[in-house]
Amino acid sequence: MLFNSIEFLFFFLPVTLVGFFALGAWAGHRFAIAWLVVASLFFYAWWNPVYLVLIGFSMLMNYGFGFFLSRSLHQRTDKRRALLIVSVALNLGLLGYFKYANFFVHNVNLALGSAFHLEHIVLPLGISFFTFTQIAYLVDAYRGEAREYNFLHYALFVTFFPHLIAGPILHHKEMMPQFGNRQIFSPRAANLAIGATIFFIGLFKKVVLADAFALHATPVFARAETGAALGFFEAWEGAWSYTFQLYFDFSGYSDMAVGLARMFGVRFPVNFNSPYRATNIIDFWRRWHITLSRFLRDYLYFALGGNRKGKVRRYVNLMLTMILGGAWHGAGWTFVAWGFLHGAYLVANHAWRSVVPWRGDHWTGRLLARSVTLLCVLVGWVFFRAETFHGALTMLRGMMNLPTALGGRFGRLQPLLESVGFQFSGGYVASQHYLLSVWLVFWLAIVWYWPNTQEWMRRYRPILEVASIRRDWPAWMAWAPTWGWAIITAGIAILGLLGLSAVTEFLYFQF
Amino acid sequence: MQGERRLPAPRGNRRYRVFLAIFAGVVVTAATAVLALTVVVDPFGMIGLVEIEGFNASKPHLFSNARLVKAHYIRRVKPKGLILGSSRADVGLDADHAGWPLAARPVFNAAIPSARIQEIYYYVRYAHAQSGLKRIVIGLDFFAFDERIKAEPGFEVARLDPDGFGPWRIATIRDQFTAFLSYGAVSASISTLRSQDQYAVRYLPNGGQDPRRREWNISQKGGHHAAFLAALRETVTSRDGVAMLAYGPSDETRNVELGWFLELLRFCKHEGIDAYVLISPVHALWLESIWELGAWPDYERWKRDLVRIVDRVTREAAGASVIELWDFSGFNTITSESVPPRDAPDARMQWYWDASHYKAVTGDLMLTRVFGGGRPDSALPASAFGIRLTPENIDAHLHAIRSDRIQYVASHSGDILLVQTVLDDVPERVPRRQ
Repeated sequence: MLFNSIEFLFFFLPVTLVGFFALGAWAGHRFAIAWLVVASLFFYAWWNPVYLVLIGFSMLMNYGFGFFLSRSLHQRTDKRRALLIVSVALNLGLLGYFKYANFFVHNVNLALGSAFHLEHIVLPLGISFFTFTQIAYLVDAYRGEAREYNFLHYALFVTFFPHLIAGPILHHKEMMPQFGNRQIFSPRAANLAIGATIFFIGLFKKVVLADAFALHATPVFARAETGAALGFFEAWEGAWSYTFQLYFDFSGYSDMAVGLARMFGVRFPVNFNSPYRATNIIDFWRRWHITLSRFLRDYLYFALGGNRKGKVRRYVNLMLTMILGGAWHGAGWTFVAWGFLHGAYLVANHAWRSVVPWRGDHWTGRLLARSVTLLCVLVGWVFFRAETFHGALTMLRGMMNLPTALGGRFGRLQPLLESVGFQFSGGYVASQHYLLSVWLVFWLAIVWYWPNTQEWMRRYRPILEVASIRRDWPAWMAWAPTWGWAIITAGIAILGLLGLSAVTEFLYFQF
Repeated sequence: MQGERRLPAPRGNRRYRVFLAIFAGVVVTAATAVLALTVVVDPFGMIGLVEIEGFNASKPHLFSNARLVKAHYIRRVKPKGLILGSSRADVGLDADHAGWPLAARPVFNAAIPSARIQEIYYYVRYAHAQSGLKRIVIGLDFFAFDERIKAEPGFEVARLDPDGFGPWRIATIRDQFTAFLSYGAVSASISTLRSQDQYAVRYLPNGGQDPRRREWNISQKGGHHAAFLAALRETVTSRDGVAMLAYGPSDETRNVELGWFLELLRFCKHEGIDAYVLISPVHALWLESIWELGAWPDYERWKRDLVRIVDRVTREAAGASVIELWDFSGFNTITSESVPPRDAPDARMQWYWDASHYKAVTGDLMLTRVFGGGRPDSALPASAFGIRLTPENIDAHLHAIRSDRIQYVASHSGDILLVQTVLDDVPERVPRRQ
């Protein structure tokens, strides 16, 4: 079920909320939690009930491993370590089979000219997310940072529907203690008001903004796949549109998840924090898909040795982490390339830092740094979005295919530009192209200088880490439960609701 | 909290209650306002509560949403007889034709623009689940079998799923949202209100198109001559290969489109639905453009494939019903009707609107012929119009069409110029016949 679907909004969500609070009031908290687990499994099974077997198996297995890891906390470490390795390997094996088997066989066939056949394996929804969530849990259990002996609670931790399909990737200790709070079992107008506001802001971003940008991005990328030569403005409009589409898609999704959890009185960790404001790539990864970055850092980068084994190993570890992180997003070489590119960006960023002391604290420096960072990110998104390498390269060629009128204007620089791939046959400049730059400046201003959802909601602890919220906005830029805000929020909600019936899929779903 | 004054948290629960009440009140009010507009205007004709000439009677968004609209009409009408096919069947085949047996009434015209064979299959299954079909007539088009285009935008399997429990109902509710509570519904309502002066875009209660629209269209375009040119030009330049298409292998296990056709006939046989498959009588000039584009061999192969599949289904034991394949295409007195010259915009053709669409009088001839069991009827102006195809006569039939074509080209050199004009205009459209 999609968050932006009618069945979710008008059937699933109200029924789940009412059931949860009714059971919490009259039958006891255990029943309320059981209700939430059943509802979440129903939510998951909506696409295909067969998937229930898989997620059920995965939960049972990991609950068992976690049980033993927690029970044996004071026993010999080598046995526990072996148990952890086996359990993580089983999880990765499951993920690998469902996500990468087809890709692997395809590439083996390409490389060896062989003809191994494997039936098309359908990627079970959310497997990338619930696998990572549980791996983190196992490591936490191994370290003694998490412990769960109650299977019902464990099942809720894994399946709680706001995070089940597309994150955030939670730690057990972040969410489960909140269900120990008796207050969340009775409905609170505050949680419903704050949660609904955050949810509808997210819905608006998704169905009004992201879907509108998709209308501009999709045809350009589709044309690139056909190999047609793209003009300068067309290629850039496509690339920028996708850059904004993905931004509002993921931002909207994260908001909806945070808002939904809040309706149940639960706070989620921050997952998306105005990433395009980043002034360098390191900063970008602290703002984009934060819980994934955290996971990759804690459980992959550090496991590889992090930065403790010298500069070279550090850079190698960074590259490996990002390449695997790229592949996590999808089984395809374009995702690997995207990860590789970001790995290279990060290495360059760290190397630059160790050489150049300049921090660019003046606003012009920040603007420059922001622009360069965003351009690097945009080039990455071209690989992320394109279906094939060929399509991505066609897009990039189009972006380097400068307007025809510029040919001959660069003097002696022109041969140099041409030698690095620039062309001068990108079409003529028309008046609508000037409008494009206004459009671009407008949306850049929004993603750079407009408060994000956490900042609008800053007075009401919308997320767990309040420290990441900027607070120096004018007072009127703060939501409050007033008449005025009720009307504005309702306006945002109705704009989102009117966009519901042309449902489009979330981009992050397949990852 | 970092220097900012923190409001007393949930203590003032009343404030939040008031907030929620205002929030819900505004949302409900706004939604009601939107509904008031869309329900009254009803841009997709889904409920027909208000229908006032000059206000909302003409619905310019109807045909582009035919896949949505007709599914809901079917649910309302509960037909026992069904007409399927593309816009050709939509304007040409009459659901009120006298030949429809009583048991197969009411008849509904479920033809949709550019229908693909897979779509036809799903609409038949869906309608059958609603009301139990007795007889269907399919106006079959070559382009419905294009490998590259399985369905057109607006087609949804979920909407037509006859046995899905949840999804079926959800799909219906979602359609109601699309039709009444969406940006599309609002903008369609406004543009419906604004374009009442145009022409009668509406479906008749039996699902067919109001013929006045075609009439209006022909005058707008400047007569039949211009309409023919436009239709032929679209044929030759269109991306979805209306005349020349990607027609795959002649094997229904590999040619997915043929597979759908086979499934469709099997379904009819199994469910006891009489199925009359009528290959559309496109105008001779349309056939000539297929010929000129070099797609004739595929066109003939397609007919042979249809014959083979019909024969196969007829022989298969399961079920009992009439399955007949009729060919109305070719170069006969109907399809060869002369096109009025350019300088006679007011001249009206008897059988055709344009090169692609035949008139309802032509459709009546077809239905009379088919429902009459192919008896030679002296009242018919063209007894040779339409032949029932069998494995025995297909070779001779195709051969006859080829020789008729030679005669046609010789005797209609003026009309043929139309095709040449169009082809000369679009030299980039490649493979001309050698």
